[in-house]
Amino acid sequence: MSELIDARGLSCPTPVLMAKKALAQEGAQGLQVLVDNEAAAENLRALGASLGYEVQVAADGSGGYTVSFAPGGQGTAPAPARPAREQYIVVLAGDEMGQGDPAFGRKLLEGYLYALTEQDELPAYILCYNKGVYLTCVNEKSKTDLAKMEAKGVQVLSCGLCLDYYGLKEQLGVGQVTNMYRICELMRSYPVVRP
Amino acid sequence: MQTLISFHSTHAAMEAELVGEEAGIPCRLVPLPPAIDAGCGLVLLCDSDVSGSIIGLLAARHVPLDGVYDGRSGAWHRRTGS
Repeated sequence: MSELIDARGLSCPTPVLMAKKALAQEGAQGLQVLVDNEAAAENLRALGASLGYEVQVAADGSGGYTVSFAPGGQGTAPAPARPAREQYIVVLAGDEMGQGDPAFGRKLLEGYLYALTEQDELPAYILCYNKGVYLTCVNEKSKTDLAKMEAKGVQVLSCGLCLDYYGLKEQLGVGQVTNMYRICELMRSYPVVRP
Repeated sequence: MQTLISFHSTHAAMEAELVGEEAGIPCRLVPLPPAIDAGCGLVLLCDSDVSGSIIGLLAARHVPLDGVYDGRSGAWHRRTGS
C-alpha cells in the first residue's frame, strides 16, 4: 500500500526531501505526495523519474497537486552519452562575470554565453542560481543563447527557490525549474565550469 | 547575413550597444571572433540590413569605429572602406 505525505504549505526543497526519505525505506511500494505549487510538483516528478519510478501528477484545480510514485518506471534521468567526468556543466551563480564594474561584468557574461554557443563541446547542463536566474528570465540576450543551446540538447536548469526569492517564477523563459538536491547531485557528478 | 562592428575601446563598444538599443535597433555585444583578430575585445553584432542605420547613428554620436565586417560565424570579411 502506498504511503501518503501531506507536504502542502512546506517550502522547497522540503517536499522533495520527505519523498526521497520515504522512497528510500525498505519495502516502499509507492508514494503519494500532496503539494500546493507547481514547482514542487515538477521537482517531485524529476525526483521520481531520476529514481526510476512511474510518476503521475494530478492537479486538483485549486492550486494543489497530487504526485504519485509507482515502482516499475524505466527511469527518465538522461543517461549521459559519455561518462559524466568527460562532460562538464556550467554554473551561472550571478548575472555578472568576475568582480568589478557591474555593467561591464554583465557584458562579459553575455559575451561568455554567446561564445559558449559556438563551442564544439557544449555543456551537459547549465545551472542557474541566485541572481543567475535573471539569465533565464529577464536578460533577452542570454535567454536567446541559452535557448539555442537547449535546442542542441543542453539542459538549462534554474533554482526554484531563487526564482521565488527574486519574484521571477512566472517569467522563466528558458529551461526547467530544479531544486538544491539536483544541483548538489549534478555539481558532484560533473566537472564544473564557473565563468 | 550579419555585420560586426569593431571599436578602438571597450567603452566605445558598450556605448555603441546603448546607442543601438535606445534607437530600438536589435544588436548586441559579442566577443571579438578569433577569425578577425587573435586579440580580445567586444564587437557589436547586428543583422546586415540594419548595420547602415547603426553606423549612421554612431557617426552622429561621434562614436568612432575601428572596422566593419560582414559574414557569419567563422567567416567574416572586412567591408571595403571601413
